[in-house]
Amino acid sequence: MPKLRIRGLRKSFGDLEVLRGVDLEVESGEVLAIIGASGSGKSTMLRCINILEDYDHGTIEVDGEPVGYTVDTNGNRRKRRERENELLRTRVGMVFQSFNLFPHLRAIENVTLGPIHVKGESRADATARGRELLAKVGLEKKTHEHVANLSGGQQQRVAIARALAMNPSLMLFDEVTSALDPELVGEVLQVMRSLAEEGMTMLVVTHEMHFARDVADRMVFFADGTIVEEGVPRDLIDRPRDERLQRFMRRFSAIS
Amino acid sequence: MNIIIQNAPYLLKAAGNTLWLSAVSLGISLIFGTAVGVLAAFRFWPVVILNQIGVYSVRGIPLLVVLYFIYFSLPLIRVDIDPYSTAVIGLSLYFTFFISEVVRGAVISIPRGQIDAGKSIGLSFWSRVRLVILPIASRTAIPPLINVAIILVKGTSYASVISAWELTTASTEVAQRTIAPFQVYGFALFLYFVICFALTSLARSAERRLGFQH
Amino acid sequence: MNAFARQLAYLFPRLLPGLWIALELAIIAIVVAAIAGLGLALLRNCRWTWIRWLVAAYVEVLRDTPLLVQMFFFFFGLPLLGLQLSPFQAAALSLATQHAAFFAEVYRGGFQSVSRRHKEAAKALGMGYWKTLRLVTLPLAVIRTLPAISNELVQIVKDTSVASTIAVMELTLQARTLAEQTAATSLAFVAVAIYYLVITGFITVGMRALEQRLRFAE
Repeated sequence: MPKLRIRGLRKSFGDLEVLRGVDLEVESGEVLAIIGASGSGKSTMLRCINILEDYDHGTIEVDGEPVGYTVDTNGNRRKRRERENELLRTRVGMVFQSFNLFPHLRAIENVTLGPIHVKGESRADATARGRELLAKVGLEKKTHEHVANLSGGQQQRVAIARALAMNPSLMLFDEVTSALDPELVGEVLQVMRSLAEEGMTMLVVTHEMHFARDVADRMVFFADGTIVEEGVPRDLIDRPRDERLQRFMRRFSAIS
Repeated sequence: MNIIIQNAPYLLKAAGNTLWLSAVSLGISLIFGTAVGVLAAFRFWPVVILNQIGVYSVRGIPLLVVLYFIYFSLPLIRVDIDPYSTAVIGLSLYFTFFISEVVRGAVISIPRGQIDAGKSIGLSFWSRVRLVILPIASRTAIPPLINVAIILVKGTSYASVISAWELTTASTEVAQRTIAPFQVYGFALFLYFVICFALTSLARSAERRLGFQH
Repeated sequence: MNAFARQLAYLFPRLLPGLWIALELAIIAIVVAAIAGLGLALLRNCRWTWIRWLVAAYVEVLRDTPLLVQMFFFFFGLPLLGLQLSPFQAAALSLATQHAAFFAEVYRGGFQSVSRRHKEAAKALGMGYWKTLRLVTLPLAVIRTLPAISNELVQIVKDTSVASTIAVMELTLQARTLAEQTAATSLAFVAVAIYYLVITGFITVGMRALEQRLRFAE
């Protein structure tokens, strides 16, 4: 069973149709890179997967379980209760472009908040695991820092540790390096790389083509609300077939 | 209900007094408050000190105490005036320092570039104040000033304590006479509400139209 | 000068009983208003429009009417409904109801200032409405509105003076009694002003220290 299956996903914001029928399957342990121009729908799709956004049509399943809505055999769509959504979100981790760390808590407290208050772990257990995770992302010396005192790259790594602390079976990364100064991007990508090597299933919306080429197993290109091309990253980057993808890639070769 | 209808004219007249009292005190506070605020913004040190003392006092001492103090002090210096004027003095003094802070903040928030522009086209100090600083500062200051006005109107109710005749005094009279405190004070609350709500709405539309800048 | 000092020395201890009453009044009002205000602020997000409207109306009415008249309304009006309150109780009730409205506004501003993003991060971790409120929104809202809360606390202390009009023997009434009955007259009000300044000074300084310590959560 695929870890994630999306069929016919549609979503509009008012009159604007942002997702126009997305089909996607991601296997367990796979790293999927998602690229596309801004407004093409990639972030919206990510946010539908953990129901931060509702969607209008289609199905999403994580580990076989329907996300946000259930559709019965007659095609009737029923919204799931918010409590069920909350439970789902504990299994899907998300890292945001703007980190969104809790400013009133220290690094370790940001990491342990979810485990203690959502999963009911003891403070001792959660803290021990929290320290491990912060060490894993290279911040063992900063566990008790207030997050405002950390650099952007450090903050994003705390955010990753925070998401990992919930023991998710799927991780969503929404342009997590776009808001960072260039010299801080590397440390975050390093963490993501080792995560991938450990076999985490990851969906990564990104502009970092080198990362996509080296780490991702598969890549999809979003345009006008749907997936237009998919395949091995190398193929999409070096031999883009769709015309929009070619234009998109030309912008990157100009930079790199 | 009848009680309200019977006494409404009397209470409305008292409300008129309240409005008059508010307007006069507000006017005086505006004049002095603006002067103090502008001069304090320009770091004119005697005024800065005066303003600091005034603002500190006003922030820490209840209006009622200030009114009592003036009411009890005036006879000591052989000044014999009616309670109404005493109230005006007390209210004006108190609110001068509310207003001075608003004005000071508004003047300080004017971007240096505007003042430099005024200087560079050769305007004198007072011309700059009149043509550049006050117009710009007014936009920032008007919503908070209207809020001060609301506080002032509510403050006029304390004038009843020093025997000035306004809405609260009148309501107490009527309430004791008719033994219907509920209706009478209720009606007085209504009248105060009408006045202050009108001001609140004014402040909100002013905020919207003057383009609320941070 | 010496005469002044001697008179003040005479006045200060005689104002002390008033201080305790005033503080008692203030603390009760603060606790009740802070909690009730929070409830009101939360009701603002209620699903039913009429509840939202009711809360908004309550806040607006209490902000646009004088505390003094409200107190008279409670103290003289409630007995007619069968509710006999002592002056102290009526004063406490009146202070609490008025300042609950103000606290509600302060909290509302605080809630609005908490960025959507923080709430979203909590949602992404699987937190429900109440957990997010308790662990993220409320702490951040309070930290960000500390200056406004500080003003509210000071204002409540100042407003205890209004209780003097319904015969609660707090500082202001104590001062007025001394002014009328002794030779000190208006100096009594200077003394009581000093009392008020000291209390409000403590509150302001204390709150500012708290703000400094919580700076990191900007």
